[in-house]
Amino acid sequence: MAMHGMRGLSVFISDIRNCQNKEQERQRIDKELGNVRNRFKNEKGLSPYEKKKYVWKMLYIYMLGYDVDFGHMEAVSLISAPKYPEKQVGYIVTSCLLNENHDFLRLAINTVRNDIIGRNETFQCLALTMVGNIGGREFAESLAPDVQKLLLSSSCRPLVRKKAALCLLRLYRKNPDVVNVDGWADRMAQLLDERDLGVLTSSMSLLVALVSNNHEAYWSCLPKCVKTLERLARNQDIPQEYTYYGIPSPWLQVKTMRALQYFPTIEDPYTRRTLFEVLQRILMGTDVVKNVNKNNASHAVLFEALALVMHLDAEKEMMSQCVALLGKFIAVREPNIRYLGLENMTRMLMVTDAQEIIKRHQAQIITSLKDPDISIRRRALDLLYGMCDVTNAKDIVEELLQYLSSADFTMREELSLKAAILAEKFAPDLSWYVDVILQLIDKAGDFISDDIWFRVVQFVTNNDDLQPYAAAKVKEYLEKPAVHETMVKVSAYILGEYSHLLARRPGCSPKEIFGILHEKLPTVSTTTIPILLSAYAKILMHTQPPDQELQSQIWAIFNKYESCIDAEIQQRAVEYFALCQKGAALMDILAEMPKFPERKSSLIKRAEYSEADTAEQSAIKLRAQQQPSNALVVTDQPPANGATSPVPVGPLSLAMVPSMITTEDHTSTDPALSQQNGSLTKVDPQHPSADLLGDLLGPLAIEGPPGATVQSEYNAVSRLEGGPDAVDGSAIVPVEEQRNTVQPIGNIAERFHALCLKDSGVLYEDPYIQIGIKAEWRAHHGRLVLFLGNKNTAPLVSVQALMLPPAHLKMELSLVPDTIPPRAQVQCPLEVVNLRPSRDVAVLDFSYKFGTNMVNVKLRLPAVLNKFLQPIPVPAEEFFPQWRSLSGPPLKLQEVVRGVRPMPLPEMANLLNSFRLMICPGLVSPFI
Amino acid sequence: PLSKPAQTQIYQIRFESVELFVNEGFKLSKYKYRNRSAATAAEIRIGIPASVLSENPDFYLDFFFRLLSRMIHFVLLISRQGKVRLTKWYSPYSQKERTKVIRELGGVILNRGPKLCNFVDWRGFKVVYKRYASLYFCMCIDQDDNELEVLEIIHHFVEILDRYFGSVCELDLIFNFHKAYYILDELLLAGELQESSKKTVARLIAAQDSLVETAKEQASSISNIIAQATK
Repeated sequence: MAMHGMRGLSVFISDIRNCQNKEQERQRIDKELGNVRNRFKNEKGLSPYEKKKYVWKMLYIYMLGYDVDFGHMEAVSLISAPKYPEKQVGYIVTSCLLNENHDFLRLAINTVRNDIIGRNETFQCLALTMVGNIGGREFAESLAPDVQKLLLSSSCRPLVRKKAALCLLRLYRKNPDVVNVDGWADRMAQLLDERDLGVLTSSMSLLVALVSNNHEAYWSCLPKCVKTLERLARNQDIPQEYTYYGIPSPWLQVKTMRALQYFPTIEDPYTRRTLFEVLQRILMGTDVVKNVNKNNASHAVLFEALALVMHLDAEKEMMSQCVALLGKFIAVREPNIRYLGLENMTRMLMVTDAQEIIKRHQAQIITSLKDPDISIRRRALDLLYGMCDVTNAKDIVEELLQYLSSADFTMREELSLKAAILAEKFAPDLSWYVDVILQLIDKAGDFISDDIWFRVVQFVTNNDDLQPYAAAKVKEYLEKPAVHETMVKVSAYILGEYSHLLARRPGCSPKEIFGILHEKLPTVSTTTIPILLSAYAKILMHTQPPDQELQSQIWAIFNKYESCIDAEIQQRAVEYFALCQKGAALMDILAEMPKFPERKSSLIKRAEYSEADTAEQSAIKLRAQQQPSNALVVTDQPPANGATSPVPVGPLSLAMVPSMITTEDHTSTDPALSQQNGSLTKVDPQHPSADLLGDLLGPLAIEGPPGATVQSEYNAVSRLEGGPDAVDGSAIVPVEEQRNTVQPIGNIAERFHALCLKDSGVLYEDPYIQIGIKAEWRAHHGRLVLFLGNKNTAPLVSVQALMLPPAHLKMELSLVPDTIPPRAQVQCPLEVVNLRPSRDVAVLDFSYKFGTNMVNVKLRLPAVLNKFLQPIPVPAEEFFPQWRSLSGPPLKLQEVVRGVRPMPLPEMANLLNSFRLMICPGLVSPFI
Repeated sequence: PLSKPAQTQIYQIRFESVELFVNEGFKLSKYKYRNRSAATAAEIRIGIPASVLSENPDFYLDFFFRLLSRMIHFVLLISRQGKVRLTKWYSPYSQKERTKVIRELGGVILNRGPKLCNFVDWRGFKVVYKRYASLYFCMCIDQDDNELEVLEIIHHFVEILDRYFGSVCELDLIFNFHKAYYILDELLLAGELQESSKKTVARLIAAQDSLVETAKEQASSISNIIAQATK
């Protein structure tokens, strides 16, 4: 081994490694970049060796994540150096630093071409490698013929030809026109006769790309692929160096089977039989062995064989062998095999007849839903979703619901969406469906879009038997202490329509129902209030004999909202109040809603049209196509009075209340829109966490040499704090003394104030932990996520977080783990509900232990009054009338703040906006 | 999104089986058809706001081809501390994207406990990774690529490094990162496995080394001659 080292480069790397912190590292790098820049400026004095060295340094700096915005030209220019060492560096560094769209690459095309068509084999290799790795469309157009020549040339050695094959593959990917199908098919077939396995492997990759685009031109390659596979699988005449742990090139086997999967079928009976024999041998002859690499390699081949068998739609016997194998795999201890077993079982669902056999493994698959590995849990969820049908829907959906309470934050949305779809598609009976959706709203209300609860309303309306059941059920939910707003909506609707059916049950008198509903009114947003008002009107109408007290109570509410700012609420209040005066006529106007005409679920429609971000979602689509919705056609009574009433636009468009339609527009059942929302929320929760983590990792990554143990990391920290002596001292000091030795980084009070104005940022930081916060506020609800990031290579233990909420806030902090693993970040969601305005502040009592340090801090949480404010845009001319209609003094509050620097108006407006106060421009106050 | 056909433009790109759906106001997203057979065709649709596409067609076409080709998209070596030791990008990623990918994946992979499987789902792709001592070797592949095959490519790479350096450790790769790049280039090309024989790779790298040595000797002998002559 020749280690022709470069001293300057090694010294630089050691310097970087010796930096104590990020700041030092940056200084060292800036110095080096300045140096390199200077040297490049006076290029004439630069020896080839120096040029090489600086270019490598640039690559190293670039790899560390710093911007290197110069010197690209120097790297590219090395490509045209006459000698191998410089040329080599030029090619490699260029292909690492530059992206294929970089302008400088264009300048190099000619040099590269000269190297390719030149006689120097080593230069050819370098050029082919670079073009194969980063060649773009322009390279494809100008170089493809030369590369093809090299690949086919009989005088070229294998080392050049294998590179040429893959280089051509790259160029083909950039522009498929560079391979002329007519002449190429025969040549491709010839290439498959190649004896050198390196060239053959590369050619097989090329073939995969060619057939994936156009299999018809390459039929002649099919028998050759089968022959190659046979040769490998039977281990005939394979050079020893091409066996990997005793297996004849597993990679070539996989590639060959991959190519075969692009041919729709194999007609020639002889070829077909040969292939099936080989596949049979792979399926039956793969054993689990101790050596992990041999195991992986043989299973890589086995899984590819499974895919090929599925594709060829083999006879039943072979299929059941496959399913049996997969059944075995999903129960093994090896996590990789378990993962792949689940994944391939999901693919197997597409094969007819396989589903029944797969169902036998349901219990095992459900176990995998609780696997410690999220990758495996995801696969299990996909599989359960895919295998669900009428016979097992109840079990599967109930498992999903149970899992929802403990599932990772990142998986919840997907879980609840899938559970909702399955419940709707395969409900054995409708009361079960109602149960499931209500549970979903209860457990994951944020992820339940409006169309899901509209659908519940639709079913309840259309099924008389369901009405008392649903009404009793929602009443139960409403009696729980914390209720999601969506639950209030659906409950208000159902209780308004059908609570009179419960009137004889204890606790269900109109008055009591009204009481339960009205309790929620102060907690809901303006979109829910109209639904509550409708419910009140209906309850009042159903109260027989009339209850004077209830009537005056409800009338008072209507009265109050007659002057509401929100037009929708105001209109309803006015109309209902007027209608109530009409006595008997009220009965007709507020009569029960007519049955909805049967229609396709918007949820399932959405699933069908969704072009969503993950392959799982395409599974949803497939599913929807495979099995037309049947469960929900239970309600096939014709619409009772559909002929006379106008056809409702959506589930909620009450025929008798035209103003309802405006709400309908707000909430929008347009699949395109809700789809957009859906995909947005999907992305959001991931971004901030990743960023925060990045911030965590960034500055820390350089401390401590690689492989640093806990102790050395700890030492490093104490060294920074108290000099070398502190290291020895720390062991002797009693634990209690250490309590407050950990100093926070940054000012806690300042951080709190900053967070009062914005919704995400760092709440607290010390040498061991960083606590980030991200909040979302909607009306009186707040959803906060605490990001607890351990900055060390040792775990933080005895982590405790205690909420000390003031009386006006209801807070629910999810479980905080006792231990935070090294360099890990945990997310703890925190729900906040504001019950009434108050200036008191919630406090988080947080403590943890690191080594012998016990740290305890009390942190004010930015769940302050202004977060719950909601500005309403008011035109200037309406401001004063509205202002005057506000009740209760004081109408005006003035405070003079002294000693503040003057602020330009826009800045002031911004400040107020960040307090969630809106500016109403263009007013002249009549009070001044 | 397809419910409003008037706004939907369909860009047909060279591949017959692939269409690019461009729709005003629709978010960039993709889905992949799981079935590999050509009979059903690998159909990939991407929704991109037309305004964005017209501004930067190259970017989206690149993105699009990235979806289309089944290959190793990038190789990443990161240390337990999150330090990057080697990166190689076979699909076009801009500088910004590269930084983002490293940061994101570092977060995902370094936080995974031991004894879990070697695969993670990541942005519609799959990352196969394996930890060797203090280093994580990661390769990004497509959803329906063969995970175990790639896992063994990683091991194959490590064995070749091991053979070259003689029981390789992280320090070898730090101080000789350029060597690691040379070796990787003999192993992978265009995101595909190029050579599965350890012996062949070792032979080729040795040949390169000796070429460089020879050039060095020549250079020094020439400078000797010059020195002698100018004495």
